[in-house]
Amino acid sequence: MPPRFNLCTAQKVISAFRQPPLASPRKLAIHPRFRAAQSTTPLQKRWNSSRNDAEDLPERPKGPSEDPLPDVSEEAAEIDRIMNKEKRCDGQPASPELEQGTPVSEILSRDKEAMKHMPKVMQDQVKKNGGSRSFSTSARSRLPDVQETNAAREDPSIAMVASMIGQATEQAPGLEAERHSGLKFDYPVSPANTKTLNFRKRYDTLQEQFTKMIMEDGKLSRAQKVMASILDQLRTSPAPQVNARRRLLGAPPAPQLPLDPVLYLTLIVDSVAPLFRIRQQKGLTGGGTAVQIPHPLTLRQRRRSAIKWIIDASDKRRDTHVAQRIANELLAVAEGRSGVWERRDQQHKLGIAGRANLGLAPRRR
Amino acid sequence: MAGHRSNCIAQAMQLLRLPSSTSRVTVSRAPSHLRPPRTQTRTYATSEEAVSPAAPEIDFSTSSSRSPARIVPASPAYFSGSPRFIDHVLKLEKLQTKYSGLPTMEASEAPRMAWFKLAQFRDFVGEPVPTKKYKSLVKILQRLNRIQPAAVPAEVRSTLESFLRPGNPYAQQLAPPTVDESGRARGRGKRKESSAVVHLVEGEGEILVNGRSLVDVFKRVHDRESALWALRCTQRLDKYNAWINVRGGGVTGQAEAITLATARALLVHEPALKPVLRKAGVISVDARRVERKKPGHVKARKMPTWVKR
Amino acid sequence: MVPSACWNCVLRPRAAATRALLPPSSSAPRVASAPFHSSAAQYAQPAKKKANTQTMMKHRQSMSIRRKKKKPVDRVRPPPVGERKALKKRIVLSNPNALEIEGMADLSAETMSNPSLRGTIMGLPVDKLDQLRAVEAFKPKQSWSLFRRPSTVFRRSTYEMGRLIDQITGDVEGAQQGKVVKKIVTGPKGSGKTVHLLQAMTMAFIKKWVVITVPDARELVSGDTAYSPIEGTNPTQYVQPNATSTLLSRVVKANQDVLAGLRISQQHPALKGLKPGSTLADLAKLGLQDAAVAWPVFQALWTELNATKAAPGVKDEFQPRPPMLVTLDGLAHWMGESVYRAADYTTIHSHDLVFVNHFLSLLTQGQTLGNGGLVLYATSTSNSPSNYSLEVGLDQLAARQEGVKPSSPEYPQPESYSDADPRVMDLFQASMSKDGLLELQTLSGLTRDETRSYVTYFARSGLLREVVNDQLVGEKWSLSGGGVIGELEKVLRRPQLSRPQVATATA
Repeated sequence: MPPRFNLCTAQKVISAFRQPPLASPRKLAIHPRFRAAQSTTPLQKRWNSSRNDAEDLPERPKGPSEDPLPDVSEEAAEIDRIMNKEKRCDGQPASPELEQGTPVSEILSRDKEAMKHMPKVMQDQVKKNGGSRSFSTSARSRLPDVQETNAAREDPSIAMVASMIGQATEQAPGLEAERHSGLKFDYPVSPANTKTLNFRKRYDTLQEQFTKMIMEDGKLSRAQKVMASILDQLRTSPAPQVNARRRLLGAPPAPQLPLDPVLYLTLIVDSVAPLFRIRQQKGLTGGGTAVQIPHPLTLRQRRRSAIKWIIDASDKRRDTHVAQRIANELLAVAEGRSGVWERRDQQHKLGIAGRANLGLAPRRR
Repeated sequence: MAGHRSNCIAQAMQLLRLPSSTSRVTVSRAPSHLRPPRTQTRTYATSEEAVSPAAPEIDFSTSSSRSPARIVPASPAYFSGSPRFIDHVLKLEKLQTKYSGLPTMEASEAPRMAWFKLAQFRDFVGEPVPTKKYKSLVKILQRLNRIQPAAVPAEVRSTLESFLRPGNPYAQQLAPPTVDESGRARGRGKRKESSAVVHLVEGEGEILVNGRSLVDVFKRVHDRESALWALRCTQRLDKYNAWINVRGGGVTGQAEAITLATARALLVHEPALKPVLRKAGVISVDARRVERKKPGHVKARKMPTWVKR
Repeated sequence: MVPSACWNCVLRPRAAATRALLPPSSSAPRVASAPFHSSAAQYAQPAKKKANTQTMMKHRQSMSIRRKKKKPVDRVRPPPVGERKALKKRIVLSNPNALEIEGMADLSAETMSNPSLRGTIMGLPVDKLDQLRAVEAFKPKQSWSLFRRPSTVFRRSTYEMGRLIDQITGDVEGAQQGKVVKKIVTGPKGSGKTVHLLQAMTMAFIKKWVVITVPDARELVSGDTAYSPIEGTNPTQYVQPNATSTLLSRVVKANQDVLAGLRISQQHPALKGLKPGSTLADLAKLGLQDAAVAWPVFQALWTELNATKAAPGVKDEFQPRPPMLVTLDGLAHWMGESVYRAADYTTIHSHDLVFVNHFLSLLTQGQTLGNGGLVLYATSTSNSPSNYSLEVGLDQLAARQEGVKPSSPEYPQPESYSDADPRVMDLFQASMSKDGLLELQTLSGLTRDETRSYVTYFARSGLLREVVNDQLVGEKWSLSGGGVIGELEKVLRRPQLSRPQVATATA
């Protein structure tokens, strides 16, 4: 549902709370065309939206959190760019400058030297010392007028909303005090990562995924034991000698890795994770031959395939314990010795070859 | 469906008929001298009446504006299947957007409201409302209900009240549990087949489970962590002593039953910790139990292997 | 002449005739062959089933019969024999990745009885590690491999033991010099009983004592080593030559320096190969070479070590013998029947094994070690048979220590019909005689201060990425069941995620 709001009221309410009468120019940069549209009735209406049929609310109360202006200006800029960019040879957007919204007049007021050299029109303007026309791209100078006109109208809804918000904000410290009244000790400090506060998500995402993939017959605690053992072995084995051609992605220096085994594990898995899988699609070219189409994977899917490869490769090792097999395979990956790297390279090669088939793939909606 | 539609049509017709019928009444009741001259069928007899003055000009400015040019239904949702329901939804959506700026509170803190159950709501609107659509309506109701009580407009309050089912089932509040005279708070929790009772006292972090050390009962560190998660996530592990009785089920079940029981006991001591505990997932009841075995199945769902002969 | 028709057809004319008359059956495929030949039709391959019969059966049926079972991945070769056991017993004492801790004190003659160092982490002296390995002081699952170098918490019990060893040696003034102190060390699982023995051994090595250890009591009674009866004993005693030989090898390896400096001072007529004037190390090596004489050699060594003066016939000057440390791990195994069988197939009580009996007898009599020393026997919780008699014995010991008289009704007694082992009860009865009272030492969790220094040790080794504060210490202390050090280590080595941030970081 597109927000349908009355600009004037919103601006009023905001100004009631922010003493500086002007919000940042970025928020106020509205294309004139859209300004007109907003002040009048909405152009199109949908029944399912919040249309005011009988009792039309000219002034809709706005909350403090509701600050729709940037959205609109961005929208305006976007539309303007789309509509005007092609017409202009230099390709410069003719939209309100969102990034540099400081009006020219403001700059000039600060810079006396520049004032002398400013265009004639502007000099006239200064001489006139007033008037509604602004030379800035923003609607900034317009705003006081709008405000004045609004203020002239006595609007009960503004007062109502303002008083409501005022009440609520007054109440906030009261609520805070009440919250702390039910405590015997200090309010707990929340962890850096709030997600791990939950006791079902206490482990690192990758560690948990790896553990669950090690698990057999639903024996989670056994898998966790294996995982702990793997991490211990990563921790105690000597730092990897990094292969220059197959280095771990974004890794800290190798000697630091073993002391943070979870990070070590994450880096190893992420480094050999494939970017896509190869989908064998039949019937695209006719004749029943399958076409290989690369299909992008999400982070979790990528990790899954990497973990699967690592575990598969570790099954062929000769060590006695599962944990040892997997740990050795992981170390081999870290040093670039493992066959998992070749597997990934091969997959990528196939994917690159299959790029041509992407056009054949049925469009997904 | 047809019944409802006919109802709507009747309503609309009534609406349409209203201006015309009133005009007819006024016409019939008007004194004869004020009656507008009637155009009569012309007879062949020539009489005085035949030379009576012509009819006055029709005043289009009054008559034409009163009756609509075409039939307009009362509700904009008239042509939809369930106009009254949609009217309600529209009204609520309007309220929601109108007051969306008001300060809200957490869903857990909002007053508990007994909205219409689906069947009751269907009776209320007299239309067959699908479950999913009713759910979306209830969602809006709950959003409106989350506005802070001090800031709730009268309009919202009255609208919300119209969706309450008669008789308030949540009127009777249980007395909140309190710490007993020796400073103990009691909490119970269940998970799988296990049930745990925890007595929580302020102390230094001594924990006994069934009179034994925590380490003896739970060999896995994971289970120990689970059991004490409520104290751990609120950083109260060195501030309370716990005396725990747990029975039934297996190790994991017992550990997580203790989690729930500890969290509840902790809430008795410090009710303000509720949001933290909620986020930590320790006061959410896990109501899953083992699914029963069914006759004709090998396990709860597994079917015996099908053999052709 | 070859007949024109085949014999088969000639011999079965009627069958062929009837088949020829019948219309061709729809099921049997028609094969292009001579009509009078039945063999082609008979030997033809059965008709291929059409593929669409499969589709008919799709509805609601399990395909499990036809499904191929997943082939297990066949490993290249199984791991070589003995690798598993070697891996299980492998002891790694250092982790090169862990950070070196600066300023960590070593256990030494000065520090071992320094009260101000209580609660700190102390490294084991590097030059003693080989000796400690020789006496099998380290066990595989004590996570020595996590840290840069082996080190232990200097607990209160450690400090007390250090002082005791000082006193027995005579370095510190006290009535204990040359005395024998006997202790049974118990405690819950992971409370550091074996490490307590390890600390005692380290201190004994520092003080140049003779250390004799039995690292695993189970090996003596579990039927792993050879045994043979001793002639002329009643009841029959049994000797375990190989076990004794390994014991001797441990003693020689660990105490080489001390034993090489001591000369024989007694007569040993039983040992023919012994030259007069040889050192005690030479004496012990006799038993290493020939397991058959291991037991007499051990007895000779024992008398030598406990001698207080030279025997009349020996010319060499008598060198004073050092005190001795005798340790044992896993006492419960020795408190019942062994799995060995006598000639009449009755089980042999473990006290009938001379090896076991020798070490147990140290608990009973008064001054069992001639030159003083320490007898430390620890129970084990990781591998221990449940033993009612031992439990009662330890209860009695604890009661005695608290001052309960054996005549009082509160004194713990074995329950009637409980089948308590009389020999074990006698042993405990005898060990509680007045002189050289047996003590019971119960280890429990670390205190908070000790926990704090242990947690800090983890953090400084780079294994724990947290800010160590009271909250963290308290949390770990509770999670480890009140500072039980083995559990504490398990808790601390887990990767931490959901730690609350330090207050300064969020504020």
